[in-house]
Amino acid sequence: MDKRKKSLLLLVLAGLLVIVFLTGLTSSFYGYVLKKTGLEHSEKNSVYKYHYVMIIDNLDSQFWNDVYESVREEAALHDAYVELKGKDQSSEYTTVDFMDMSIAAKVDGILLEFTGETRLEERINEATAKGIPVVTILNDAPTSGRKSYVGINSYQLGQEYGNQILKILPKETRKIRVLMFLHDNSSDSSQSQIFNQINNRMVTSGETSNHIEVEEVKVPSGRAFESEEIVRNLFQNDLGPPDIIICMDEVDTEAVYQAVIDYNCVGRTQVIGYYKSKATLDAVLKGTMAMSLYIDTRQMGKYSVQALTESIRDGRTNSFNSVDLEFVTKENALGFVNNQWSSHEK
Amino acid sequence: MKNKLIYMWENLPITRKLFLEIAATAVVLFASNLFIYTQINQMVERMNSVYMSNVNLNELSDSLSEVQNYMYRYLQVKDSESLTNYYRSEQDYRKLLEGLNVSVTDNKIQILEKNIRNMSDSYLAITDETVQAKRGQNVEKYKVSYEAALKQYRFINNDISVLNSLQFKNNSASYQTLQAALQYLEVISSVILIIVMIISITVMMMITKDMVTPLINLAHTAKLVGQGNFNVKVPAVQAGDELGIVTGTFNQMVESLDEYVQKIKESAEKEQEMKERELLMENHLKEAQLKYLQSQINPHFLFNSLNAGVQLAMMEDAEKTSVFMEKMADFFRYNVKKGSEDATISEEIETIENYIYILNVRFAGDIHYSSCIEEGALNYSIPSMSLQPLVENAVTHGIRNIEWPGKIHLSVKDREDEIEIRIEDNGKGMNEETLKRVQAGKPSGERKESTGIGIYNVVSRLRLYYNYDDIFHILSEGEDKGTTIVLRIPKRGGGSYVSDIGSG
Repeated sequence: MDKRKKSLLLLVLAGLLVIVFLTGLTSSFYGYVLKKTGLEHSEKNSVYKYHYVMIIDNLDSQFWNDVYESVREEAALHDAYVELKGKDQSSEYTTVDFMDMSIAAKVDGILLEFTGETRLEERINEATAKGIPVVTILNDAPTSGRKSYVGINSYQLGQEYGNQILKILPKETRKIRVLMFLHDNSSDSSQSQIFNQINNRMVTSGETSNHIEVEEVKVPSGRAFESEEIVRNLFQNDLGPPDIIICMDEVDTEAVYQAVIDYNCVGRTQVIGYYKSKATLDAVLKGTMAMSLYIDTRQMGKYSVQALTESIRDGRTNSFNSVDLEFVTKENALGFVNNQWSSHEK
Repeated sequence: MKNKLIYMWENLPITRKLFLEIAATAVVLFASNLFIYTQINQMVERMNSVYMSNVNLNELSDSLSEVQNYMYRYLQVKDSESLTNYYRSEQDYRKLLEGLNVSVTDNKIQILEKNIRNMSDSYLAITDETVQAKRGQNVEKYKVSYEAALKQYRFINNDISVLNSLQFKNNSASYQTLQAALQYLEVISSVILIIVMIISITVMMMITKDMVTPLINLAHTAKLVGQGNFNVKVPAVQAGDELGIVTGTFNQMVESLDEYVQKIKESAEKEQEMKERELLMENHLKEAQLKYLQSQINPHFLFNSLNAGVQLAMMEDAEKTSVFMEKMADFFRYNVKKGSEDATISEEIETIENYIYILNVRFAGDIHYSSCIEEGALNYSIPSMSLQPLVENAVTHGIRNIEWPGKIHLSVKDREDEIEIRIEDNGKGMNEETLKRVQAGKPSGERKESTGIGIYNVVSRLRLYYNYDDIFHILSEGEDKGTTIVLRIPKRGGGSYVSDIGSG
């Protein structure tokens, strides 16, 4: 009798335990589901004071994604959220449109990759007039009302490019063609300045002035597969491929590199690439690409956010922030592969 | 506390126990159902509200289109109706905008909402400007403003559609997750329900068994009792409910039944014994009566003749003869009359005296009779014809044919609860062997001159009458030393125990 009562009690307790356990499981599962469905996102997300917009030309670019990553990190430290706007495959907007949107959306600050589009400077001025500070990154619009510029010194970069070109110049006396892809439309843009500086460097250098010809090819922005076609044309040209090709953009870099392989010009055509995508680093390591320009994205993100925050807080800031640059060569490529690549790989 | 609860539970009536049991089960089942129902309901509600944000966005988009269209209409025709409509739709749109997020978060959707809201503000400012310019007939300005408004209108629409697709994507994922969760919930709910059911059924079964087991025991025991086994008991039930009462009462009943049956058995045995005794007594009486009847040849004729003899003797002045005949008549009358009835001790003594007188006349005063009688004993009853045969015996076997004068002494003593009757003679006496035989009550066989009733008959009758063995004693110190017969008769007033035995 007593034993039976005990077992009865045990049974009821066990049942209750199972039910409680199941209920707990259900509720935790329920919580998990709610989290997953995002119905409670307002409680989970951190709230910031400032809303910045970063407008870039190409959303698919590895370089810009790295920059955005560091911009976000830095912005979070300054109580700000940075929204990324830019062209992708489905987008039909221009940088001007993005500026218009950002101004209409009354954001607190704009980071702009200046593309040299017509009327873009007007928009910068309009934003400045409405109290929205604009900081240009990588490419400058010095004549506009932008608060600051974060990027490379075009003069310095041009000189540097020149030095690097001189290093890899073939020791021949024939005419050597150096070709550079530009993405900038305005004549006084940063890229033009770089080109001019390279040209200068080539011309002023005693040993090369006579037989070096520096050419530029402008790649119009906004049309699909433009650079690919231009590159192919270049290689099928009667003159043959140039001896050195300088790329100012990741897509160009990969297109040119692929063309060099396809047209069997490895060793004959030296490529100076842009940034450190995996393919680029591999190529540099293998020696099939001469070198690649690396710009410190971390510094870039940090400085640009700082510039914006300062101009909001104090109303003024440094008008120029220089970012370190480095060339990735066969000698130091391994370090990039090990350190930097892994830190940005997702 | 716990003991008190158990006590309370055990003392509840069965109906209430059953009711509580079923009610508790129902409540538990209902509660778990309710719990599950609430959960599923919540889930379904969630599912229903998943696409709510898309619906809201569509409303927003529609409202925006209205603003744009009415503004366009007004710019085209400049009628007051469109203007009113424009203002109304603007109001509606602003109201809808209030539902959108304003804070800066790192959530894409919320940022989009914020952008839409701010852009809409800017847009509405421009549309207002445009409408004002149109009213003020500022053609140049309203055209430019309209262009700007249109552009922003497209931006906003684009953002709304982006937001819409983002949310749709999110919501679809949510919907799928919720659907999966719902299925999971269904499984969990079923498991919980099954567990609750199993536990409820087990508990119910156990409690019901607690109630039914005593009944089964009771039925089993009742069957045994029905078969006549009174030594069984239903295991005691602790509960104070009907079952406890029934079990307790049943056990009590069985005990009393046992007692009653025992009593009835006893009394039946007694009755049986009594009947046997009565039958025996009747037999002896019948025997005695038969003996008398053999010797009574028309007694009435004899009595009348004797009476006639008494008359004749008196007329002839033969007084002795007259007395003798009278005593003879009395003696035989008594024999006839009392043959079937109880007599008192005094009547018996009178008969003895009559008998002695007759004998003394017959044998010329050879018998010296003396008596010592206590008055108090005279009225107790005794079976008739029980003393005279003993005296006759004393005469026949004691003092007849002895060389010395024979004496017979009768004494009646009133003891505390019995009457002692002693008949002593100084006759032949008897040896040990004979003494034992007589004491054992065995008939001697020789009855030549007796009145017909032997000592054995008397003793048996007395023993049966009083249902008491130690009634007759015969003592003798040896040959020629006389014999003493002692009767110890229990006192039994005037009432007679088996008075009607011979009357039939």
